[in-house]
Amino acid sequence: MSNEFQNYLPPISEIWVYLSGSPLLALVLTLSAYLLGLTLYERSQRNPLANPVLIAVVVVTLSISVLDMPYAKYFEGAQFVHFLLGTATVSLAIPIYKGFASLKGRMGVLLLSLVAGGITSVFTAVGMARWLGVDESLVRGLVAKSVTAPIAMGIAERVQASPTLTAIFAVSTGILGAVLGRYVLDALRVTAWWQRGFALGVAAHGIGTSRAFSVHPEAGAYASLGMGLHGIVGAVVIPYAVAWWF
Amino acid sequence: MSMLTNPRTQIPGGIFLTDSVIDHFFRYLMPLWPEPHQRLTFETAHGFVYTETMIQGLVQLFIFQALGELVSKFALPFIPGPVLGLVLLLAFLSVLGAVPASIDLVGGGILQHLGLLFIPASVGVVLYLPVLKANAWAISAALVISVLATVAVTAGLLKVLAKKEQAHE
Repeated sequence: MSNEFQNYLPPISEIWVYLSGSPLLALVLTLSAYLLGLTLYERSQRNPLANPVLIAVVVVTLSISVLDMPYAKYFEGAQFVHFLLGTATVSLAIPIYKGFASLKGRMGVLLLSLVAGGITSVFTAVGMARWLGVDESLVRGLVAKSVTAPIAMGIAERVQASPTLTAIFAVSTGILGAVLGRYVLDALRVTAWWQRGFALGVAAHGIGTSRAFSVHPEAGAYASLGMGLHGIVGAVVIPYAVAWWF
Repeated sequence: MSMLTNPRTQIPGGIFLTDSVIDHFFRYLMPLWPEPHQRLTFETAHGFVYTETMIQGLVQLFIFQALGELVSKFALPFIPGPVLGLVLLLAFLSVLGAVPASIDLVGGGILQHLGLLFIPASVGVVLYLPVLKANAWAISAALVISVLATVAVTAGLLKVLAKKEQAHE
């Protein structure tokens, strides 16, 4: 009887092969790393430095190198999460629509500042990087870094930049903006919540927006508006700018 | 209590069953599609109403995403499909004058965990570690300066323009 049962049970090494061959391992790894990141983020009272994405990327990167899993293999499984980026981009219409409701005729002012901020973001990043002699393969990744990551990666594909580098630079920019943004705003004596929020949303997209929401709801609403509009404008303008400049 | 209830009844949490485009679309195309009050829903099964709303929201988001991809493919190849989907959904919401609960539920849920979605691509950083290490200081400097300048220019201009507008009024 027990012998018969053992015949049905594959050796443990085969189970391992099966698990690592299916998308499950990559999915579980990605999701649990993100959960861990979220927990640490909550524990740190939502400190932007304890960014859940950053923590998750470090955890997953370490895990796949310990498991000796090539990145292509990992992505094969994790692509199911990756796929939802497009859906998330479409969903950005919701905060933009809700933001419109609280506009009170400020659209012109907001759009002008947004365009100025977007141009500043691209030119300072690429200009500084070139001036400091950064490898040209990295410079292209900087082009869309102030745009929210899902749209930035779409732009990256269109300007022959690496979506990975763009995502990494976008996340870093978001963290830096969320941490440092208030000092700049205080130095410039910008006190209106809607102005502070919008600037954070334009410069530091999603991470800046969640920071703005944790400070003040009006700042948060304007930050999501800034992030969303920057995404739309960036997706239309940046490919042209790159074609012209590079 | 009756076993059949009107699904249009608002359930706790404020979700309506029959707010979706698809629902209206089907009722228009198919005369036999049950009117909301004809649908059978068990009173105890709020969970069912909830999941149905979720699926409606997901399907609608996918439809807009697919429309965006189509427009991108055939009309505006230089704009990413999802961004066009965003614009289409925005136009749809403006026409509707409200965010349907189903779209709000699913879209809001996805956006709440937006960060999760770019982990798979970001892990690709393993492929770039050597070149990133070699340029670490310069890249960090460029990112810091750039984000400071972006916040300063956006907020500064916003402040100046808003003041000007106020003086104008």
